[in-house]
Amino acid sequence: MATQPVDPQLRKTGIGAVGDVPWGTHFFMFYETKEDLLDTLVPYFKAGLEAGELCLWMVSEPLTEEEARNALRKAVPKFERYLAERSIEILGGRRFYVSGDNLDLQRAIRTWAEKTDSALTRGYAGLRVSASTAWLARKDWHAFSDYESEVNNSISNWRMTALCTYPLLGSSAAEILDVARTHQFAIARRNKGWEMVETSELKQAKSEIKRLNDELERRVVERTQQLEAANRSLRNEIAERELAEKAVRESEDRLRLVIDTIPHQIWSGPPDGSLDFCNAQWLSYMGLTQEEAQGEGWQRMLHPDDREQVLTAWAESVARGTLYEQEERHRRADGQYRWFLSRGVPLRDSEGRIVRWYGTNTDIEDRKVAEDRLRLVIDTLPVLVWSKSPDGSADFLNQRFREYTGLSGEEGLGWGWMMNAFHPEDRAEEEWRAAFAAGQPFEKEARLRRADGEYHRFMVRAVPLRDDQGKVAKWYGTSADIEDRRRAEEALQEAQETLARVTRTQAMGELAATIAHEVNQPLAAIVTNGNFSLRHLDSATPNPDKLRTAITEIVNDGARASAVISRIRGSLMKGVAKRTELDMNQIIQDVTILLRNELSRNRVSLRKELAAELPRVHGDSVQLQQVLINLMMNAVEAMRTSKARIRELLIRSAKNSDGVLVQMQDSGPGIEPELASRIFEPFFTTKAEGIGMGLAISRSIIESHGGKLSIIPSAQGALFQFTLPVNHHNGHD
Amino acid sequence: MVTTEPASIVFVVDDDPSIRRAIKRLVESVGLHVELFGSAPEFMSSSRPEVTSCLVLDIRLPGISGLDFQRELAEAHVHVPIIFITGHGDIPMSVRAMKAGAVEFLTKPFRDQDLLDAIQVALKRDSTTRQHQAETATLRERLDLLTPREREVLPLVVSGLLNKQVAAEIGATEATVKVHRSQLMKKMGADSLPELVRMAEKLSIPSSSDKPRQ
Repeated sequence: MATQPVDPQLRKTGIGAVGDVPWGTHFFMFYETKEDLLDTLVPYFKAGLEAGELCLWMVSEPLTEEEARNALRKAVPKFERYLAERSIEILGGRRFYVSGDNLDLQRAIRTWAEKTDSALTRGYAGLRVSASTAWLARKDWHAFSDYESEVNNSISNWRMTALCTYPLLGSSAAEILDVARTHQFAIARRNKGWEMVETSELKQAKSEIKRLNDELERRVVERTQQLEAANRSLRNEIAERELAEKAVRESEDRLRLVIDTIPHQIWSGPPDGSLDFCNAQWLSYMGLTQEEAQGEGWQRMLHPDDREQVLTAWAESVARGTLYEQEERHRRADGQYRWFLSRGVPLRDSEGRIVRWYGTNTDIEDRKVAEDRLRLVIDTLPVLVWSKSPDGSADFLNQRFREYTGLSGEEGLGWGWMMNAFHPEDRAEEEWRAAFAAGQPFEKEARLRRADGEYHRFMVRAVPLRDDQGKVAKWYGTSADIEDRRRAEEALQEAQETLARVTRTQAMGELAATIAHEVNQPLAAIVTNGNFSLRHLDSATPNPDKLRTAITEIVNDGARASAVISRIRGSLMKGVAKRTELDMNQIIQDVTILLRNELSRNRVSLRKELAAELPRVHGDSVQLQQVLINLMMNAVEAMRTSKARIRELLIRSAKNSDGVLVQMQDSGPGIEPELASRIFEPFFTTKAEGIGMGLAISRSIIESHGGKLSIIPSAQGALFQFTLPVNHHNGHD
Repeated sequence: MVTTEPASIVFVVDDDPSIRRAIKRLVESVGLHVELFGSAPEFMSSSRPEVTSCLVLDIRLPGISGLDFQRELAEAHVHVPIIFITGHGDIPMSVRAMKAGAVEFLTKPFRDQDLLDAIQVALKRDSTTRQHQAETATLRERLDLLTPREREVLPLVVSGLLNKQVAAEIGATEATVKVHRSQLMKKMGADSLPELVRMAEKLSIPSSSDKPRQ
């Protein structure tokens, strides 16, 4: 046993081979001689006394109590004092164990206990005992052996050390084995020294312990090695992981850098639809921190008008796990809203469960603005804008189309733009298909039904877009409402015509007034003088001189009236001198163009049968136009006032023996034969508003050109004709 | 027929001398005095005797229309009855003329009798007007002869008050009123109360009937 002097539990045995032992050590020695005992026990007790232990020495033969005392006295200084204090007791062994004639081993065990307690009570460190067995009778060996076994079991609880002495001589092998079994170890005198003899159990235990220790050691070593290996691999692993983490960190940093610097707004969040990440781009756009934007914080930047739709769509995508794609307005930090295309995709695990949402917002403001502007332009253009496939079926119609027609977008698509919007009479599908099939830009007019049921005239213009092969890929076009313009044109035309009529009427009225005044003056004088003459003749004394004067005045005024008429007629015929070589057909064309609107407004269809190669006439184009206009207007008025269903005006030019013949025939009621001779008289009219000068003037003009204007009896309507001489240079009358 | 001193004059304004002469001839044939003018200013600048007269006016005059001339005359307090003659009359023009006090509106050539009848009507109207004016002038002269007290009594008398009432009104005795009354009747040349009342009306003397009675 290793010496550990610092341990207060260890007691010095004083026996060199044993050294220090703990309390409760129960060992034995075999001895042969008295000296063997003294050599061992004197140092044993000396050490006990000096260590403050209560000592009890049971001596056996061949040693006597006296010899033991003397040997101690020699060896231990102040031995007398120990003795006097009764620190040491020396007594015969037999006396201790034997009560009467019987061995009372139970009492011996009780005594040990009591002795130990009393030693402690008296201030001793413990009890040191040496017991002798030399007195023991053979018959008692077994009992004693049991007792020793019990002591050996109990002693460990006591503050006591016990050294049992057995005489080697006389002990059988079985007895030696018993002793050895009932003690912890032995000391034996060998070769003039003492050796410690361990029992087999102790040896076994020791060797077991050693083995176990070795095993433990080995295992520890092994484990240590394993651990070291593990540590190494762990360290490697850690190092690797650190590397990997560093790589990941770097990668993440790079990724984060990318994510934060690409000109895109990126976000992600858990499956519940809240967001837990917005990249720097988005955060700086919104002017929010990550914390502010998280969860539902980002929603505060939605445009109030979009908010409901966006949240509904997002909630639906989240609920269904479908792709999210919306165009929405986001508020920038400065309060301005911009359009974004927001897209979100779910990331799913192997079982298809959504793990996260990832999304981006793309600024589409410019596109949107351009788009909106374009759409706004297209939708607010004051025309219907459309696109059609090559065959003419519509695939796009602008807002204006829907507003005007009141049709839904669908109703106008395909050929709906014609079938559902056109006036029934204008639904000429074949015509339109042909126009589209021709593949050339075209313009067509049609009446389109307005939402309130009114029809407006539209100018439909179509332009083809061609592919690389030159085939029509698409038609683009507009339909412009020209109703107002047409009406304005008509109104203007009407106004011009009215003005012309008024001017003409006014001119005629003024002419009439002039004629009336100019002619009435002399007439009034004539009548008055005539009346005077009659009165004077009736008087009692008529005065011939007075009568002559009056009648002379009457004659003068008559001449004056005639002169007035001549003067007016002369003024009417003024400006007849602009004569040139004229193509009568050309004049007819000019006049029909002038009166085109008048004719169409009165639904008069015009038919022209103009002779080719008409010789030229010499005359005043303005005057001849005036004649034609007069005749045409008369015809139109005649047909307008009649109930005739067909209104047709035929103008014919021909070459005849007199020169050039022009005829004008209408489908009106015609001229009654009895009026036929009077219609050319001045101031004769059949019209409520007419003054009866038109035909008279016309006839004067034709006659001044050396021709003749007349009415020809006709089966249908009125037929007027005039002739103009060819190469007739002297038209003045 | 009186030809020495014209009792009445027919003025004719027409730019047509032939018509002027014919009208003069016709109108003189019924014994009326005629004076001719070729233009409006010519007529305005002439000195016209204060006798019964009328004006035959051509509606179409050089420089000024007959209707405008009619207005000018009214503004100049020349209250001569006008007969319009025109070459081409129309209804609005005649309505305007008649409204402005024209006697007749004749269209040339007019019937002689129509003109002469119109002239008779016009002269009679002028004569009546002049007589009224003369009477009123006479009465006004007589009125000027009344003393202030008599002027005070006059409206009370013509409003039908008894002498007693008049006396109470002006704070005089009935006898005094009687004296005032007889004096003013005499001065006004009224033979009876009704005559005095008519005179008062012509003079536009307000009756005191609107005054509060006691």
